[in-house]
Amino acid sequence: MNASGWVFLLVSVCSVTALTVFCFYKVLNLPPSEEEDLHGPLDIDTGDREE
Amino acid sequence: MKPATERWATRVGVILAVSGSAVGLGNFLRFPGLAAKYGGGAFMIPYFISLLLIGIPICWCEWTLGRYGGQKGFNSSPGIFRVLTRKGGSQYFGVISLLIPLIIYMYYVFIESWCLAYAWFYLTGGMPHGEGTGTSRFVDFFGKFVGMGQNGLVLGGTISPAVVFLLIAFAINFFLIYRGLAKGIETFCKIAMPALIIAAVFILIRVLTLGTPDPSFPDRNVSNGLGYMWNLKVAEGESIWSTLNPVQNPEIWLQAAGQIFFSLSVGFGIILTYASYLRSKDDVVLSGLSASATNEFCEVCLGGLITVPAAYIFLGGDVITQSAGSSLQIGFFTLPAVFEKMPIGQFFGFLWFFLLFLAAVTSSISMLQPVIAFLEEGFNLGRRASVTLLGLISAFGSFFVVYFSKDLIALDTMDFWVGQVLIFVLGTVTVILFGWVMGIEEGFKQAHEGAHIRIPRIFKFIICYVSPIYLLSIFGLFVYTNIIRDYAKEGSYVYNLLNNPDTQITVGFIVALTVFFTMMIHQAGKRWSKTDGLSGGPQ
Repeated sequence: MNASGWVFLLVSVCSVTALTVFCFYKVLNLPPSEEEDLHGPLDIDTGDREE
Repeated sequence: MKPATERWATRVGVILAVSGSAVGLGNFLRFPGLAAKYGGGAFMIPYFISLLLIGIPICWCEWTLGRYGGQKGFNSSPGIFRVLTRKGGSQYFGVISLLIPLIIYMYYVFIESWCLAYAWFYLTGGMPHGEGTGTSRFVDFFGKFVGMGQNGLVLGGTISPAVVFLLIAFAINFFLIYRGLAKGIETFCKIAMPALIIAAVFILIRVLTLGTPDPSFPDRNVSNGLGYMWNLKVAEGESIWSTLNPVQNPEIWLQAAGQIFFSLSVGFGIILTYASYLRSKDDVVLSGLSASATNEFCEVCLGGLITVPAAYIFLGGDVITQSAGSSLQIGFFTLPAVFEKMPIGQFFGFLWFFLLFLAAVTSSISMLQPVIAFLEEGFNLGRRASVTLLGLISAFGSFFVVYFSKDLIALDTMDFWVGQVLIFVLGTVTVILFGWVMGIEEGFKQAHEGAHIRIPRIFKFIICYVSPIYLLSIFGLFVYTNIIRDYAKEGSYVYNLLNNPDTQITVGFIVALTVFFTMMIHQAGKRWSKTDGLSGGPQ
């Protein structure tokens, strides 16, 4: 591999990896969405239908 | 208007679902082959320009328009177009965004089943063995497996293994889609995406530590393998500028733009539907960028470092030159020859094809959701009924692809007219809808609702002017090179359309499907109009 190959490889791989890490760092450090952990009525098993 | 009731369960889940839709066979097979064929490092320049000028902007447009449509009660493209333009007639244009994912699914699931079959063959020792080098053994094996010799593979009297694996792939897809958005698609992508990335990293480490496996070919080593993929390659007597000049060398720009489209799944109508299930305050800017970045990571950092270097190390540059540019040849002819020579190649062959299968499933399930959404909201069908109806339609289409297996003519024809021509059209329409119909200021306002990062202001100019002009120029080049210039060339798509009965039947099938869905949209539109007028939503 010659110098041009190394330049293209390193610039491409590093920039894409940096963008991916930045995005996931931001996403994973966000506070949980207000509605994310809420469950709809059908998801909540109150047990009051059991005989 | 009633907002959609089905929702994504988590923020990471929707990002993985969208990136799963984007990450597919193109990342690991098509991209490396194209890069090696069109100038190595030189290909990366139009590639990244296309990513910045059309890939990421259209992605943001689709995420924003989809969430906007979802808030108005629509999850399907015909409904979203209707509510965006406030004109009932625009819903008919939505037929393109139903046709693209559905028709691509019809042949993509067939390719997906080959990956599953090859993974199974590697696991059970069913791949051909023998002395000698080259790929001819695998070409014959593949040709017999998919029935390339003659049409009517399924009518051979016995049940073909290709059909069995197709049925299995079909069943997996419809099982996941039947489970719904959060329990089916999202749950599967949350498992499959990390799994396929781990598998790819594992294979990458193996490839990068191969050294010089055959001392009789000292030049076939990792460094030269990477060089074959990444070195700047320009033709003798040419400079990098003439290589990149779109007038002198339009092909490199066409291929780079096409790869960005196919790879990011923009212009497919899928992101529109997926984003419509977001809540009004869910972020679309960071999510859209994250999904695009994940796709690029799989493509550039994994696909770009595995496929071509591995093939070079074991087979040399000549074999890659023959197969570069064809995902099919690289995936099913070249790489099996590589695994045959690689230490513990049977295990790595299994891992590779299973990885491809996972990548393909995360893409193919996303292709079903736009039509499911349309059937549910257009005709008030339940999940079971809509899945059954879609199952019948797509099974018929896949049967069509399997039947016309000679030289894979139906698959190739659908891929060209739908998987290439129509996605350019839909991508252009999407960016114009965002920039000019919704309006760039309103579009940016909508995009930034609940956003965790801001879109740089320069993208207002890019979306309004640069992206449409770039897209139209690329599309013009595409039409010129593929349709006008080569129309009389034997084997070209237009030549086949005019002379090959199998191609004509396939195009007839696409037209019939278009008419069918246009009629369906008409009926759905009448139903939507009854409830709350022209711009109304389903109740």
